[in-house]
Amino acid sequence: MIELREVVKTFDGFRALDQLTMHVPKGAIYGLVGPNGAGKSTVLRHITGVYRQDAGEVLMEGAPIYENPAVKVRMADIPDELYYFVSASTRDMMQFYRGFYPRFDQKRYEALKDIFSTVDEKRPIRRLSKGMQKQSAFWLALCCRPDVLVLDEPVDGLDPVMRRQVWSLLMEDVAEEGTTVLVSSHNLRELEDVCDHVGILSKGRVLLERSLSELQETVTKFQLAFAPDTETVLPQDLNILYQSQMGRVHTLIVRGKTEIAMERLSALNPILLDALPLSLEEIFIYELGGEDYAVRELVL
Amino acid sequence: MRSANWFFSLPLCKKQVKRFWPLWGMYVFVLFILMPVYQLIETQDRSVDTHDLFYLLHQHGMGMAAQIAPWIALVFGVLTAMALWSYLYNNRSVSMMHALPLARETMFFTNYITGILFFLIPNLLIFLLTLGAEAMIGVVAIKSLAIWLLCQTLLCFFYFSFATMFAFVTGHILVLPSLYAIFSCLTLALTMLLDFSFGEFVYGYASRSIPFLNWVGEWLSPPYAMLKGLRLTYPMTSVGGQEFTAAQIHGISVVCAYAIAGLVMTMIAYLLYRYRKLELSGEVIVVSFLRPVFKYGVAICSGLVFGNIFYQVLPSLFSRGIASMLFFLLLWGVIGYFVAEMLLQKSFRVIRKSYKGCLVVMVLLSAAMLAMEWDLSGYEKTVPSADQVEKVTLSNQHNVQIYDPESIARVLALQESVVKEKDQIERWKHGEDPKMQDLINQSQTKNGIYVEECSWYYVHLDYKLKDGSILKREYQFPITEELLTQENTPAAYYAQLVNKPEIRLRSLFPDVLKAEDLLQVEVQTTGQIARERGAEMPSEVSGSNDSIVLSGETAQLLFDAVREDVLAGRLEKQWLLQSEESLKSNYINSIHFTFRGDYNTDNLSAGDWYEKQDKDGKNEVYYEVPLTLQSTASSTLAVLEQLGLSDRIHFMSEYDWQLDTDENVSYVDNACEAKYPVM
Repeated sequence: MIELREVVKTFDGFRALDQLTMHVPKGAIYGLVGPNGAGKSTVLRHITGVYRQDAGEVLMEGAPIYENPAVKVRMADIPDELYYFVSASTRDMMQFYRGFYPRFDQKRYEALKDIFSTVDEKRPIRRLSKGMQKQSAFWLALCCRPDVLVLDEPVDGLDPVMRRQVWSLLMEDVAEEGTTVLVSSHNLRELEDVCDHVGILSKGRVLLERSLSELQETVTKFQLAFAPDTETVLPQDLNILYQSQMGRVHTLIVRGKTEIAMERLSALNPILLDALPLSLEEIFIYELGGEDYAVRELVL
Repeated sequence: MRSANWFFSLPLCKKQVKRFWPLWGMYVFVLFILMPVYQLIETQDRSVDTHDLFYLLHQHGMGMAAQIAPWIALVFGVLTAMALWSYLYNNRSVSMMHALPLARETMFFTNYITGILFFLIPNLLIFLLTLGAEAMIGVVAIKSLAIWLLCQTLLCFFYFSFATMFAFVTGHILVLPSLYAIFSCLTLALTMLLDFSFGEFVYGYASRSIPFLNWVGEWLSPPYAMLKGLRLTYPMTSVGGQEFTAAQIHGISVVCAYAIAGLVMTMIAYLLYRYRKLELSGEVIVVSFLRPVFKYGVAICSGLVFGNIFYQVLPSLFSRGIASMLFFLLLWGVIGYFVAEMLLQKSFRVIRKSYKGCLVVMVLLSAAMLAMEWDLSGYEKTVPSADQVEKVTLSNQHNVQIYDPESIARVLALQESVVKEKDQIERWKHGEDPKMQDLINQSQTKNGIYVEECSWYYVHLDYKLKDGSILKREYQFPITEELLTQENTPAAYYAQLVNKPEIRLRSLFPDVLKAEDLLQVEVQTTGQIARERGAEMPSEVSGSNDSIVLSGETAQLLFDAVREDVLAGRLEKQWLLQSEESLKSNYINSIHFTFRGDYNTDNLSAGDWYEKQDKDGKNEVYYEVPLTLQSTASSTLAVLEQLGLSDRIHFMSEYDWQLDTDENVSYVDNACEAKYPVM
């Protein structure tokens, strides 16, 4: 659906996107994650057609997005920093967006009033709390009936009930309308519940990009314990992302097929060997550890 | 295939109109008060004479078009641009607006057309309301209203386009009006400062003598160009036996030219928007190739502007001259450079990274100053040869055109001597010659009379060469009794030139004036002068209290006598230093000649002129020449005696006037009390 091919973007000599290649499948809920300064917001601004890339292509169904109203009319976005006209209310912005999005659904707007009941549609948005502003943003974006929804830190500021409500609405659109959702967030625990694809960004490049299930299949946590006085030499050909030991219990994070790793570790005759699935947060931390971006112990 | 409305989005336009209603609302309100309301109030208590009302409304409309519209447009243009383009200056608003399914050209043209509508619709509305008000008054001045509509609309269009161009150069909302204000007057200020610097450091430089500089200064400063180009004249017209002022507007072509320039600026703005990097919102200058232009431009302008101000303002601390000027120029050039760099980098820590550019600025400014000081162009020494010169205009108090070879040779000799004595004259000017300083200090009041020992004269030389080019020079030199008697001094050459009878006559009565154009002659009496100046004098001393006006044959008689005296050297003798002799020779009584004809006013400079419409509506120029009577004007005095006017005039010399009155209080010696106090 959305494709970025070897995109380069430089800001004042700093290469923010370094031949970045990314692919968001149609109908997917794609989670874009990465450390601070990785380039996530920059990627999203290219996808929404705000920035023009220095090199490479940013496409939606094969058509360039930049300066292409025919493509952008199928897309809605909620940026991390919201902007509304001074004294504009949700109703005012509804009338504004209705003029640009031919598929704007007025009935849906009226229907969603019950969902976003705490938001006074006639009150200036700037006078609402941060969470209510986000709700207003969702309200308007969903009514545009976009084929692609681009969200940057979407649930930041929402209470837990509203978060669930919003995700539920999104997933309903994905299931029924085939909407593609691209989400950037640091809340990996939440993303894990909704995303089916993940892309990890680091230093302007996509480190890895996979479906969530594939990702979880290719990185496994093993815990193994050996008998006392046993010399353990771990297999060199295992792609070990992380290794630690507490007493006799070794914890290994291994990239590769679980069965193969299990077989190799079994050959060491541990007295305990367990394979545990990793959370997205753990995958994130351990993958980026390889990029020299890990939790460091600080001695003061 | 693009749809028909690819360049315009109605929802966006409606939103902008709704958002910024206070702006266009204020514009409507201001015009409403200044146009129909003002007319209704002004005509309330006036007479019902339709001609009177018509010309009043006509003058109001013309005045609004020429004098008020430029200022309203200047202010409103930038406010409209700031409002409509404000979304470009904030990262959040940039993201929101450019994520919309609109191409940049749609956004540009929609906002641009919206801006035009902000003033076009109110202008039309006010036009109709004023038409209605005038209909209620009973008289409609449709022509002046139409001219107002045209001027107001075109001026708003230009200034809005002008501001729009700057809107796309910068990424900061406050920089937009700053650039707008600066560039509205920058070229004028710079050309004036350059003119001043040349005048200060290039010997013989004639102010405003570089046409290109004048053109740039005038035309690239729109408010000044409008002030100068768009103007009113007030010829009188007679209707039904009554005289009315029929204001006429000139310079609509200037407004049209600027409107066309506005179109060009709009195109530039559009191109800048197409290639604008939105991530640079918040930056002072967003166009990359303009960043060094901004930096070096600020440095040079800062050096010129503040360097000149400090050079002028602090003369007591620093001696005038090249060293002081260079010091201030470099100091402010460096400050300007680093300030600009700080604005561009948004950091105070710029010195280490960008000192090399600063050195370039210093070298450039120093080179320019030294090139002036050392006269690398040879400007100072250039004196044309006699066979190159077609004519020369010599200007001091009056302009006089010199065609004859002998006089031209004298002018060239004057210029050569001034150039030759440059160093001496400069020393005198800067007070470095004690002897000259003593002479200046010796100018004093003796027995209530101010006597000059030294006087400085400016002379402007305007050569028209045979190849069609113009060469202008301006000099200043001192005149003392000693210098007047020495041969080959500028003072001596100048005295010979200005007292040459033919030159004096042409200076007073330019060749375009014919004897039959003479309308009247007015002679001032001592009594009239005393009355005007508030001196109480008995009539046996002052004569008649009213001036004497002659016309017809008596005027011609006096005119012929004056011409005879001037050609004989008995009248219009130029006393270059005020002395007792000069004051005794000059009378306070003057003669004013009034001529009427179809003159090119560029050729008239000695006196005052004004235009008036005759009964057929044709413009006529009235030209007045004042002339100071002198005791040596035997023919003129004889004619006045013959006409029996001497007793009424009661001639009084300047010398007697100063002795007998206390008009010049500071010059009255304590021991000498005036006979006739001046109120």
